[in-house]
Amino acid sequence: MKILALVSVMAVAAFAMTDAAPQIGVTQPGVDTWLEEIAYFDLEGGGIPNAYTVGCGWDGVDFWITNGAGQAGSSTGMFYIFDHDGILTDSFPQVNAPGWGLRDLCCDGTYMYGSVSSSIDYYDITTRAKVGNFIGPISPNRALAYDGTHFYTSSFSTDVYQLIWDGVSGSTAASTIWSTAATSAYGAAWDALGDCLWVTSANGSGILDQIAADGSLIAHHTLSGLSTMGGATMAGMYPVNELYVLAQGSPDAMHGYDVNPVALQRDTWGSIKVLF
Amino acid sequence: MIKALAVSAVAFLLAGCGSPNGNSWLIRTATDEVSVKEAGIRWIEMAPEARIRFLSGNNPVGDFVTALGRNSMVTEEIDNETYLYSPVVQTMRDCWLTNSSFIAYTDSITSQVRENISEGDLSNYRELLGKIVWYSSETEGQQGPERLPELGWAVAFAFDSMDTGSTVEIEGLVYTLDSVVTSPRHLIDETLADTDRFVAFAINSLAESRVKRHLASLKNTVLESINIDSAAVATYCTRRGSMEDSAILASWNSGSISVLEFDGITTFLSIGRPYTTTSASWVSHNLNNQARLSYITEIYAEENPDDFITIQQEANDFAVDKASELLYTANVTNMVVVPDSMVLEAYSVMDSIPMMPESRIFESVAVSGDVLDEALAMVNNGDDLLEFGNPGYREFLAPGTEFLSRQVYPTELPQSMETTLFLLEEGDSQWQRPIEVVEDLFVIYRLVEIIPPHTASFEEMYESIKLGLLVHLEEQRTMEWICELEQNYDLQINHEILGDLPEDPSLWGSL
Repeated sequence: MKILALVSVMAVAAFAMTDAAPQIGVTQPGVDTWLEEIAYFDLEGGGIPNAYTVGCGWDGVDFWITNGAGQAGSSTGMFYIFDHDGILTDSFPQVNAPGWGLRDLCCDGTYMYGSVSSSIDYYDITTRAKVGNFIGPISPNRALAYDGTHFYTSSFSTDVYQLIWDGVSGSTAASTIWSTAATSAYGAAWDALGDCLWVTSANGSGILDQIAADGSLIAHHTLSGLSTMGGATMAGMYPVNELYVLAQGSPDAMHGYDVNPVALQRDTWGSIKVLF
Repeated sequence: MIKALAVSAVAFLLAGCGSPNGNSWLIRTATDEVSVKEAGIRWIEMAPEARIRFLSGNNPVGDFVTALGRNSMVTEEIDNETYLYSPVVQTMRDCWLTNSSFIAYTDSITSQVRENISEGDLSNYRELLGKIVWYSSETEGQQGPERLPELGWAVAFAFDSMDTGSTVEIEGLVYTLDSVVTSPRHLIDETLADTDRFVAFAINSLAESRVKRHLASLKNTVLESINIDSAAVATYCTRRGSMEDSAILASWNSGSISVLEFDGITTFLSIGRPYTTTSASWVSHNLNNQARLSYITEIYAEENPDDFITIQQEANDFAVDKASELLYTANVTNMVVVPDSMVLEAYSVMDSIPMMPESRIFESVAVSGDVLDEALAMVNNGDDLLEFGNPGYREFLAPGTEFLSRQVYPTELPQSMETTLFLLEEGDSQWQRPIEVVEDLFVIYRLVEIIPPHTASFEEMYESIKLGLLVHLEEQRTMEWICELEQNYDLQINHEILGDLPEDPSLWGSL
């Protein structure tokens, strides 16, 4: 911060032809060759007290971030709630989720689902209380996505399973191997507009797989600037269709991809732009 | 420039004369005029967060009027085939339109479907809860696993009374029940006992499955008629420059996508970032998907004409936004460069150069949990862990190295690693206990070098200085460009009436 302040003073002295004070230190996160990064928030700087965040979900209003607080010495994992602007608004413990705790999350509009073992637990997004669970095909059901009727799950060295839960708490979901196209999956998100599943990779190479509705691979994308990724979620803010991925880095952070409102951060141009 | 600053700074110091009304001109250019009333309406219609941009300044109304005048000029600048009506911007507009229409259509039919779910539906669902089936039919092939209650009731109840392997004919179609799994009765009873949760789940389940089935049928309708020219797609991926813009990549019953249009689709998907793909599967997927979205847009426009007009207007606004960004890129972004010599000069004239805190360099090997014991055994045996072959902590590796880190600062590292690494003394090159830095990835590391606190070097300051200069030069170039526009358009602000207007622009609309 001290460096930036010095640069700011120096720059003002050199170039006085401005409408307003210059803005220094605009966030310049890494970008992919295709997907443009539109949002970034630092989860550790934002209030999570350790570097063990793993998964994310979107309940229609807020992000739910899972944290393996057990790795940091607690008895169970934590949920941290961030609003769309990346502001931490709440936190509460997961129920009986030791170690890395619940991993990636997905939401059906009523419940938030996540897995710490072969069990997929679900929490009421209004009361935020755990309601029940059902059994998935792998342990843990690390990557997790929901397309309206079917769930998708995968893990470091497994295929992608499509599963369906009958709605009965405690039951075992029926599943089939749906795709072999994922690369060491950690997170997944179903994109209704794009008619595809996004799968993040934990293999350290920044791979983001795009898989078609029939399970075939559309493309491997590489997100430059990111290496090991955790969970993924869509965060539809009409009319923008946003994909967020959680980067397990230094610091752990959320990265959003799609439409770019960065122009509004510029001084003079931003004032003109807001009037369109 | 002088004119712009004068407007911003002293607008309200000028005492006006006469009695302005809503029709008095407030802003005038060679091609446009904005009245007091129109400006007031623009203020009212501005998004709250945009209004805060002006309200947080020292001269909110002056800044607003200035920005409105400049906005008027920019609007004129983009109103041509280079920007707003360029094929790429118009295709991006169409993509925005189809995306928004898809969302609106999905919301609309979901709402309708939910309203039509009856007590009878819920009663049927209650009866069939807990059953998952696999089945096959002549038209659908093999299906499953599916929730039994999400199939049509006739098929669902037929399956419920059949043995696996047997068939049934319903409305002329033959179905075979391949397999069934049923949850334990006591779990089903416990679920049904929580009536509110069961009803919410059943309504969601029925609504989502019916909507999904409907959308799938629309998609199939398009895909049955779509013809993707795979040779053209292959050429697009390898030699785009050799293709005519008008060449057709895909066509279906009610539309087609040309090469130039797909350029626009790609630009929309990457939102302005140039993207050249070599993936035929990516192109084909997006051709299919755009055809699907276009078809659904046609249906939505036909069924909801009034709402569609609203979405069209929003799409036009989106196109204006994108066109203005292209204009900005051409006149500002592409005009600004920060040569290294400028960065060096800025560094050399700094009054005081900040101190960099202590940093350290380490060597590491990263291993997954399944080979951790093997790696630790090597350490215990005194073997060279680097020969284990696993590259080090990727995030911190120095360029071109496999094990050696760049300089790292304490705040960059996971806490458990930071604590140990920064307590080690110079010369201690023992391998340290593994740290699980992310799930199932362990880092074993040792200290290589301690770099004590020092005055920041040019290389260490380079990126932050360059970014500061870039932001500043862009702002400077923006002002130059805006001044050129103000001269070209003869921008005038009606200073004489400003002082007599209500201080709150939201009142100007009723003058």
